[in-house]
Amino acid sequence: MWYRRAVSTSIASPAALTKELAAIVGPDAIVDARASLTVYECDGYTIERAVPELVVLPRTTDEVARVVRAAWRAGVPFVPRGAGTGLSGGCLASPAPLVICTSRMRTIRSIDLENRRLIAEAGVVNAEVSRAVRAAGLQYAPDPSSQNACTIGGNVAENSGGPHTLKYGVTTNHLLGVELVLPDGDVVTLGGAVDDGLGYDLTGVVCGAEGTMGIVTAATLRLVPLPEAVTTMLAIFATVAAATTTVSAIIGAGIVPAALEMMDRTIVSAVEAAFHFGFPTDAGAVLIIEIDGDAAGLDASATRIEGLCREHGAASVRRAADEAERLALWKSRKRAFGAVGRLAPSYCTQDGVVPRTRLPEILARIEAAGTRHGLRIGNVFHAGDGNIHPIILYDERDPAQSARALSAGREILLACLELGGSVTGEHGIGVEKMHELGVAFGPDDLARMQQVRAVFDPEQRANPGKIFVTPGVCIEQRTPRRQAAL
Amino acid sequence: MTDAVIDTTSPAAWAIGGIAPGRVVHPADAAELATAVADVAGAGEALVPLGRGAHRALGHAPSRYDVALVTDRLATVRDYQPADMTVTVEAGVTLAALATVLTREQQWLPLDPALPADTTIGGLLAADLAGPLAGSQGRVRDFVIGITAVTATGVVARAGGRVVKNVAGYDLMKLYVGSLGTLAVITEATFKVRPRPAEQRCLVFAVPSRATALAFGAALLVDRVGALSVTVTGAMSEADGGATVIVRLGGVAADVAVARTRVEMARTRVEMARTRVEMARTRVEMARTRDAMARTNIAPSAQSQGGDVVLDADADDPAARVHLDGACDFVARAEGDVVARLATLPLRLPTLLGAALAVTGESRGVWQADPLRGVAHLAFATTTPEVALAALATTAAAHGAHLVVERWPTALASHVTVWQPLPPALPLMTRMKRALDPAGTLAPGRFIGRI
Repeated sequence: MWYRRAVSTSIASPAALTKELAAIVGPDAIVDARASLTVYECDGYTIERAVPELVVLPRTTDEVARVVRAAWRAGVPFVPRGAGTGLSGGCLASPAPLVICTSRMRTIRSIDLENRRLIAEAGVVNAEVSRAVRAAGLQYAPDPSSQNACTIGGNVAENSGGPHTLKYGVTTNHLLGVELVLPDGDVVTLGGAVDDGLGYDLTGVVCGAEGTMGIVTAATLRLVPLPEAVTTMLAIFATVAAATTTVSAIIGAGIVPAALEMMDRTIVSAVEAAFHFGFPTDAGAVLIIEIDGDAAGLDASATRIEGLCREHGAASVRRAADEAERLALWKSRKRAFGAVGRLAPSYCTQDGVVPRTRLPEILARIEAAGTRHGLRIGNVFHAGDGNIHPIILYDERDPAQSARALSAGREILLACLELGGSVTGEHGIGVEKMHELGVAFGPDDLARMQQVRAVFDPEQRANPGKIFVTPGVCIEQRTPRRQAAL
Repeated sequence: MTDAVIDTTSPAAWAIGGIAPGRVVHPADAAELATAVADVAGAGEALVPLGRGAHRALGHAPSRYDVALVTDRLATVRDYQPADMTVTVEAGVTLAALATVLTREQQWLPLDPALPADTTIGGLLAADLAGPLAGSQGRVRDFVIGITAVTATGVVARAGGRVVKNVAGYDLMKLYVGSLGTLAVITEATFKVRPRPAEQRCLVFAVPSRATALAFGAALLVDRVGALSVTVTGAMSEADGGATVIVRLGGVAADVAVARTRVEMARTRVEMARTRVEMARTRVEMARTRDAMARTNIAPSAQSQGGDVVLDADADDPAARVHLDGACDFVARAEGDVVARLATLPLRLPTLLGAALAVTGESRGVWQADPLRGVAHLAFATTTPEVALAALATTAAAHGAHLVVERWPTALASHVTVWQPLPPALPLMTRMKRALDPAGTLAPGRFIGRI
């Protein structure tokens, strides 16, 4: 298996720290056995791995604060971790050797249905929030594909998105406040339930900071009403170009769908083989278009969208007949990444953004990159947002192929920048894109961000070695290696 | 030496809280602005960034004020991509000018603070200005996707970008929005914009009871009418003196190709929403009548207490504009030497406002409430402003609400606490200010806790 073994600083007196932390959280909340620690060696980004020296699983904010304070005193930097579903190596235990995992903080502290607010602890799973308020006709809008596993704490750290962010916005648009444990163990409350902030919007700054400003232990979330009606459509196109042009046409017509998702032929074939939804496997591309809102206006919008699809060459457009069919369609889309496992021994998912009108160009560039490197690349993405997810298929047992897969990914990201976009729409920088961030922004921009980080974390104790390339710390090691016991 | 226009003749026109700057600088572009900031910083002076100064009464007076740095010449709409629904504008562009550009493409930036013709993008961002649309559309923070700003030492630094979804690097847009020029001078911003609703309707009700009017407003939220904005406004008095309810509805976007059908559809939709407003109002009225009957044990009178529809018109109708613009410009137009903003959870607003009006009962003035957001403004004249503000602060604290004093008599300046309560994160905010502006070059003393 090919991956990079990242370097960690070590804990000076591991036995002493373990004992101190065990006294805080109890021995059952400490992971220090080598075999068990391997579980925490990476997140959803598997190309770089580092087995932590110690993992703690606190249950309360007070425990988190005491653990962080102990680590502070011991001079040990830490990595915050939720469910480990991140896709950019944001919770890689490198260089920090201590992982503080909030997955046991699973209490929904309060629900205010009338005012549409909910306070969830960091370890509450994203989908649980919506489930808790569904009966009252409310939902928590951000819905990343990993929503049945990923946690609110991780969502806040990554400013997670999902298919429905086109209309509803991403995590930051639904986050009113956080409880944050600073790197020295102080607990601070930022923002709150009232939608009229006092002072700097530090909640907005911490959201998406990838755990580099401390550990979020709880979040005050905004809930939104479930739409009165939902119509989901499936449009089949002969080519990817026709599908992307249709995306622009729908938006250009003044319609903001709840979701506008595209899958190309490669992905459709894999998804069909896995879930048997009934997708035509010879289609060049399919669009899943969902609109929601008041029942009265919905039919007209759907009719208009169907017209636009046909105008732009759709071979067929149909509406999901019932809720079961709608859910099956979404299941296919949200599990597309898993289905890809059938196509190749390994795959890596990229995450880039272009202005949505540049989708045809970026897709052509992706195809060219695939051809150039002799790799198959599938596409499943949030077309309405211009947020692409090329899935590069390769065999990680072949070092040359692995290297080519990395190169192709890099080239695609640089193409996104050239077209006026971004190197990440929702996966984050983590360790994966630190170099690309340096292309997207100049030294003055990055210095400014570092200045802001230092206000929260002057000693770089919270998730060091992420987002920003640290001068002098080079973990660039481009040779394939087998996993070896440390 | 730069080409920036330096004006030393009219500094008084840029006074803040009675303090005039030594000079006024109008840089021609972002590069000149950066140089101007570096010069001010180099000389150990202090500046306040301003657009047109329309909202400069917000916040404390600066503790030092050598230079008014005015962005009015940075007035270019740099890049507008209607199909991408993004627009990049310089800080000195006014909201009215931007609206004109966006309207041509049937789009809008749904932010409607007071005085759009005199409100610049820089001011909108720095002061986090909000209007009646905020309750349904979101606030400035929800629309700004990229920013360019000049730091306290004159360095140009960017964050975000020009795409609607982006998590590359820290979200410094959030940091600058509402920071009142104390962390950086904003020179340019990129926004995501939205399709303009094809049809908008304005309904105005005269409701004889304030409590009913506020309940009606709350019902519009609870019943999910989907109004673009709801504004309840009335005269200040201890007794329940009645109120006006202004409801703005928006229909689905129309399209030229299916113009006729879709316009008809939009009309139908708006009409249905109007009917639902009517139903919600009736429900509130019925509950109120039942309560009253139960309390007084009398038969209901024939006279309606729920209020009369005084206007039902297209939102562009001049009569409708009077109400809608009045709601946006409430604070700017209100007389009186005290203006206070109270914010709480939406359904706690009626109780909070009732308590606030009770403690300021002696004052003459007007109030306006946004039931969708849980925000209310009181604008009044009083002979004892200090007493009134202290009473409001006590009331806000008792209700877990925020109080922002937006206007106060100049004589009170040093005693007024603009933002209350001071948030628990104030020490962290103070650290932020010291880290980003150690010399106190940028609007020193203007912000919360006089940082």
